[in-house]
Amino acid sequence: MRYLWLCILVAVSVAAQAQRPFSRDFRMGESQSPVNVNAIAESPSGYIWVGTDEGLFRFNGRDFVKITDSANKGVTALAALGSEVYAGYADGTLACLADGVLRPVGKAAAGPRSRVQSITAAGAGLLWLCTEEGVYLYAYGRYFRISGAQGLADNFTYQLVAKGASCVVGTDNGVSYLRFVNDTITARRYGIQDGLPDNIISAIKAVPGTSAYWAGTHEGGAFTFRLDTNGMHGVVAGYASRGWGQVNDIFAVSATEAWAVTEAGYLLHLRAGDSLSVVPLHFAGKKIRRLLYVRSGNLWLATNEGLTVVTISHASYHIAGAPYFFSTLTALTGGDGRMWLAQGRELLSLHLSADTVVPAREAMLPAAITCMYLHGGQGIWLGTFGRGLWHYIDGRLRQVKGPAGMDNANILSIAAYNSRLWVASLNGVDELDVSGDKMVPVAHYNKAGGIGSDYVYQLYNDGRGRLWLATDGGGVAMYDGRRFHRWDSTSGLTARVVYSIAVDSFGHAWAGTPDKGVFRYDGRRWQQFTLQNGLQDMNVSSVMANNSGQVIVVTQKGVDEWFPGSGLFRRFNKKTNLDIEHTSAVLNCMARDAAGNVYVPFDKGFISFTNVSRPLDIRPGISVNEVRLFFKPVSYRSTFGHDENQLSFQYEGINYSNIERLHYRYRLEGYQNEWIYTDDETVTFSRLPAGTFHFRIQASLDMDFEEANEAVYTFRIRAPFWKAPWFLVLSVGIVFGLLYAYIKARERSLRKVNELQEERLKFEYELLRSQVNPHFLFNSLNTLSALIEEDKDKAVQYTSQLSDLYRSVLAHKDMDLITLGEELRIIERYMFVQQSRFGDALRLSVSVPEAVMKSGKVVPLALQILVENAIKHNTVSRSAPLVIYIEADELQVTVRNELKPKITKEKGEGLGLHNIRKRYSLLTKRPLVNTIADNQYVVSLPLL
Amino acid sequence: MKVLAWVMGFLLYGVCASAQIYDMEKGKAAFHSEAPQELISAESVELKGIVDAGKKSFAFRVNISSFMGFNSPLQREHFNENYMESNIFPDASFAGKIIEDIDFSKEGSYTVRAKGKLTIHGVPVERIVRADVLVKGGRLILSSRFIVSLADHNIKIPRVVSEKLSPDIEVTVNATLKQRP
Repeated sequence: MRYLWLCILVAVSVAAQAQRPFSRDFRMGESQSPVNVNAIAESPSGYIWVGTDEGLFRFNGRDFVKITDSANKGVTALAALGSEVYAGYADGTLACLADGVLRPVGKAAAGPRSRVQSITAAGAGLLWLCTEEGVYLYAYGRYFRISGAQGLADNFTYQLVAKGASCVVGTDNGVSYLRFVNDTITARRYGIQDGLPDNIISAIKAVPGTSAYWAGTHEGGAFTFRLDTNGMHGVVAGYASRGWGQVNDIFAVSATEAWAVTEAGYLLHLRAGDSLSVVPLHFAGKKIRRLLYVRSGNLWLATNEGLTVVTISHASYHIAGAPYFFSTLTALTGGDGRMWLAQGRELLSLHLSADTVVPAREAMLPAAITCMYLHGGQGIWLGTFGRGLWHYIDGRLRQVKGPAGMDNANILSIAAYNSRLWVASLNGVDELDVSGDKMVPVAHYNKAGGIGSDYVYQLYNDGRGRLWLATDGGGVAMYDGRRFHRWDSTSGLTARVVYSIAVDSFGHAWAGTPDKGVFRYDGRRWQQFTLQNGLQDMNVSSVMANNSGQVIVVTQKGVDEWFPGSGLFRRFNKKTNLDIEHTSAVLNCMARDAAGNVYVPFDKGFISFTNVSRPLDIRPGISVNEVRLFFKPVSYRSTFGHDENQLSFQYEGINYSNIERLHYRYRLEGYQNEWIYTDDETVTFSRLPAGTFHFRIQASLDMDFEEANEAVYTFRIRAPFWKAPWFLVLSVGIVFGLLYAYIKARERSLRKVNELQEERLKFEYELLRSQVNPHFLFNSLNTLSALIEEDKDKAVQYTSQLSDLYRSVLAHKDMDLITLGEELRIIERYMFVQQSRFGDALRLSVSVPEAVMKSGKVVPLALQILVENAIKHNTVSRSAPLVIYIEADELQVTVRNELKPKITKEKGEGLGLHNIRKRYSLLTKRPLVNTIADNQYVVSLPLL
Repeated sequence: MKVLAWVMGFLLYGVCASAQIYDMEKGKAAFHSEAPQELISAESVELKGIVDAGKKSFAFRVNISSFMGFNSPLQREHFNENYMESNIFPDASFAGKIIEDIDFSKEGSYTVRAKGKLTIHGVPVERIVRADVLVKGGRLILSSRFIVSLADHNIKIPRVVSEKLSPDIEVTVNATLKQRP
C-alpha cells in the first residue's frame, strides 16, 4: 500500500535579523495537518527519510511516501547506512528498511524498552542506540546494554559519537566518555565542574577527522570542546540561555563552526573563537527536533509540524525597506561591509550586518547614476548619463573634471585596472590617471582601436591581470596589458552583443548575452549554455561569480546559480516558492563584496549568494522503486523465468530545489544499448529474450547527463529449459545413447541370428555329413543288398524308409524347430533303417505323452543325432542288445541308453552333441543336461 | 512478584536510609486556564509525594477528582468526565530525578531541575520542570510553576469550548516535605 501525499507550501518565515534564509515548509499526512517529526536522515541515493509520530516517510522533493509498517508506531530515531535505513521506535524496538520493506532488528525482548532517542550507525550491523535506560550496542545480532553499572553518568542518554573503541555520550548528568579495552569499560564523566555550561547534554556531534566536538544542552546553550585519551580540554562554553531553548540537535561544520536547532524554534549559527558567537534565526511556533545538512547545501529542520528546508548555507536574503525601491534601482556596488545603491539620481547605503534594513541617503547627483565602482579605500566612482564621472568619498561628492566631452559623457561602466581607472562611455573606453585631483587621460580605445565596438556595457578586472570588456557588436574583448584579444564565432562565441562579463574562481570567463544565453570561456573555446542547460531565459542581464566557483546569472525570469561540481544550474524564481517575485532587468545591477559573496537585488531587498565552505552536490538522485512483472509489482528479484519476460521499472528522480526540471534517460544493457531520453517515470520492456540485463537510469536537471547520478537494476531472464545448455547436452546425450543402444541391440541380435544360421549350417553339414557317412551309406546299402535277396518286399520298404529318412532330413534342415512328434517320426524311419541292419540287437523305447508330442518342440534332428550317437558309440549285439529310451515330460525330452562303449572310437567324437548344445544355447537359457549315471548315458533336451 | 520485590526493596531502603527521605507534610497543586472568554482555576490540597535526596529522586501524585474550584459544579463535572476521564485515569503523577547536585543537608534556597515522566490523562510525557527549593528546619519547601499542553496528553477540547479553555494550562505546585526521622 502506498500513499502519495502532497507537500504544501507555508509562508516564508519572518525573522528580525537582517540576513535571513530562504525557507520553505513541508507537511505530510493525509489531512496536511502538522505531524511531529522526530528524526530525519539522508541516504546515499538522495532520499530524505522522515521519522514521525505517524511512521516513516520517504521524501524525494515532491512527494512524501509513507512506508508501510504493520506495527504503525511512532518513529523516534533514524540512521541511514548505505542502502539501508534503521528506524528506532517509541517503544524501544528497532527496524531496518531494506528493499522497501521494514523488518524488525534483533529480539525486542533483549533490546531497550523505552523510546530510542537516537541511532548511530557505526558500520554494517553495528548500531548504537541512546535510550532512557542507557546506551545499547547492537552488534552481531545481539544487544549489549551499557548503563550506570558500567560507569555511564546517567541512564537517560540523548546522542552519542562512536569512534573506534570509544564512545562519547550526552546524558542528563554530563558527557560520558567510555573506552572499551580488553572487554572492560573505562568511563569518565565531564560536567559543570569541567567547564560545561549544563549537565543535561541533549546533543553531541564530532567534527570529522578531528578530536573536536560540538554539544548542546538543556539550559546552557551550545559549546565546543576537544576530547581525546588525555581527557577533555579547550571547552568554549556556550551562551547563557536567552530563551532559545534546549538544543535538540547540532551539525558540526568545523571545529569553529556549527549549526544548532532548539526546542524554542531557533536555528543557531555558531562560531567558536575565544568565545562563542551566535546568529539566531527564529521559526516562530515551531519546536525543532533535528537538523540535517544535505549534500545540496540545504539545512533540513525536523519540527513538530513537519519539515522546513533552509537555504542558508549558500543563499540568503536581506530585506531592505524604503527608501529602497526595487523598480527605481539603477546600480549597485558593495564590498566595504555596506551595500551602495543608486536609485536614479540618488545614492543610498545600507549596512549589511546591521539589524536595520532602512538604507541611508548619501548624496544626490544632477543626473541618473548608471554605474558605480567601489575603489577599495578610494571611495566610489559614479558614472552618470549625460553628466560624466563623479567621485564620492567620506560624505563628499564631486564631479571629476577631465578632457573635453568627458564632463557630459554617458558613462556605462567603470573599473580599476593597472592602477588606472577605465571608463566606458558611448564613445569607447578611456584609460584615465586619477591619482591627482583631475583625471588625466592616458589612452583612448574604440572600435578601431581593437575593442571591436564603441559601446562597452561592462568592464571587468578579473584580478589575474586581465581586463574583460562586454561590447555591443564586438562580442567579448580582453586586454592583457599589452593588446586586446577578441574571439570570432569559430571560437564558439556566436554572440556579437554581450551585456555582461565575469570571471569565476577557476579563471573561466562568463559572458551574458541578450538572446543567446551565457557563454563560458575555458581558455581555449567558448561553450554556450542555453535553455537546454537549464537556463531560465536566454535574455541575460547580469553575470557574476563568487569565490567558490558558483556563477550567478540574472535574467528577467529569475536567478540561475551555476554549480561547477554538479555541472548544473540551480534555479531561483517565484515558481520555486522562494518568494522571489521580480529580479532586476537593469544591466549589471548586482554587487560583489570583498570576500566574493554576490548580491542580487530583488523586490524585497537583496539575495546574497554566499561562498560555500564545502563542495555542494545539487545533482538529482535516482532510485528504481518498483519492478513490475506483467504490470504486477514483484519484490526485488534478480532472476526471472523464461516466460516472465515483460518487465516494467518505476523510478524517480530526487531533487529538492528544482524537481520540476527532472529529465531521465535509460538504457537496457544487453537488449538495447542506446540511451532513451524521457520525462516518464515508468518504462516497460515486453517480450524480453533470455539473457542478463542491466537497466540503467539517470536523472538530470537539464539535457546534459555527463555528471548524472545513475541507478542500476541487474537481472537475468532464464532461457527456457529446452534452450538451456544443460538440456541440449542432455538431449543430445540421450539421443546418442538410444541410438547406441539400438545399434548395439541390433548388432547383438544380428550376431545371434548369424550365429544361429552358422550353427544350423554347421549342424546341417554335420548331419548331412553323418548321414552321408560312407559307413552309414555302406552299411545301409549292404543291408539293402542283403534284404533284396532275403525279402524283396522288405527291401522295397527299406529303400522307401531310407529315402523318407533323407527327405525328412532335407525337409527339416531349414526349420528352427519341429514338434516332438515329427522328430519321433524321423527317428522311427531312422530306426527302421538301423534295425534292418541290427535286427533285435537294437531296440527303441519311446514313452512320450500324446500331448507333449504336439506341444513340445525340439531342434530338428537333435534327437536323431542323439540316437545315432548312441548307436555309433556303443556296441550293438544280439547278446547284449542296445536299448535306447526316449522319454519326455512337459519340460524336457530325455534320451538315454546303457553305456557299452566301443573299443575303437569313431571319428567326429562329440561333434554332434556339441552342435546341439550350441543351437540350444542360442534358443533357450534352459540347459541341455548330459550326464552319465548308473552306467546310463543320459542327455536331456529342454522342450521349447 | 517483581513489583512486590521492588516495593519491599524500596521499603527496606527507606528504613535504612530514612535520613535522606522527605515525606509530604502538606501539598497543593493548582491549575489555571486563561482563555479569551473564560478564566478557570482549581486546586487540590491532596498532593502526595516523596523526595529522596540521597538518590536524587522524587515522586508526586494527585487525585484528579480532588480538584476544587472551577466556575460551576457543571464545569467540574465536565473536567472530570469529559476531559480528564478521572474514572479511567484517577491520578496525575510526576516522578523522576533531580538534575542538580544539591546538598539538602545545608539550609538555603536552591533552584533545581526535576526531570521525569509527567503522566496526565494516562499519557506520560518526559518533562524537565524547574522548581525552587527552600531547605529549612528539616523541611523542603517546594514551589514550581510549569505549563501543561493539553495536546501532549491527548486531552481533546471540543471546538465549542475552544474560546473558553486554553490549550496550554499553567500548573502551580506548592509543597512542604518533612524529613523522615
